[in-house]
Amino acid sequence: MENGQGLGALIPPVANADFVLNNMEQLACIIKYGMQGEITVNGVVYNDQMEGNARLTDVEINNIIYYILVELNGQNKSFEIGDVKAHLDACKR
Amino acid sequence: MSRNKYLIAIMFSCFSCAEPPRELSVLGPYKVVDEIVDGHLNTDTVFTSIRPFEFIDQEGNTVNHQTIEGKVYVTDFFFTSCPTICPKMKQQMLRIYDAYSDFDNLVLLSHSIDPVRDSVGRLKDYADKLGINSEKWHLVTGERDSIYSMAKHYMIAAQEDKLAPGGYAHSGAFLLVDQNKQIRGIYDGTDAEEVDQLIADIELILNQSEP
Repeated sequence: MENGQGLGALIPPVANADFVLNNMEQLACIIKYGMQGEITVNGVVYNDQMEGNARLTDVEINNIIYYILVELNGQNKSFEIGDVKAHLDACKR
Repeated sequence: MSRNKYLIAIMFSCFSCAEPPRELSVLGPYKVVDEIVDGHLNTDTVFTSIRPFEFIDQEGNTVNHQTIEGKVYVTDFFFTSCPTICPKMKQQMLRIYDAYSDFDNLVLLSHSIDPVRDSVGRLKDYADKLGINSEKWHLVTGERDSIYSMAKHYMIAAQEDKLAPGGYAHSGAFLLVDQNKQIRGIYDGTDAEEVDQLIADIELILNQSEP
């Protein structure tokens, strides 16, 4: 789990995960507010609730996204703070 | 002169002693009981053993003393909506589950501290997603007060906490209970090394029961 592998059919992986790469605009919102419902990651269906972490600051969310994209998904770019703020505004609850 | 040689010999022989096997003492509250036996004063330390309980697991089956009678078990407290330590705890508990999958006399007992959201159906869904067999690993729910007082009995912290993520705060402790329903170890279930030790200690306890 430390490596973003997930846990059984309960928690999807975030490392080398097609869902992550296909939903980059939503990452900030998912991290902050959680999500639920059926999703498919690397061909496996998951359907449960992910708790958000509303106490995270924009900077922290940016760092998390950086880690997920660069360290766990081999991307060589990350979001700027401005992107994070913009994405969060779009899904503000 | 020869007395010194003797002393040195004893010292050296002790250095080559093998390490004494790890012993697991019984943990928890105890009473010191004085008894007169055959005219002698006998002082005994009597440890609490886990008191009777009754909960219901993910299959809707009752889980009580009969379920764990004569078995070694590992127990913890969690809730399915827990975003912080629970996934790690479950991952570690899965290691124990896999390590002892062939041993009928080792079972796992996880109590949900969120009776509101963690219904039997919810626990079954969670268990299926983890890929576990209910006979081996019971996820239980029950009366709120019973669950919380059980946590106290096991000396594991668990409580409602509106400020905590998910609404509940609890410790990630795993408790090892032997065939006599006595606590033999407390480990941090989020720490892989401590769980390594727990897996080894389970084997110790299982072997101790052999006649």
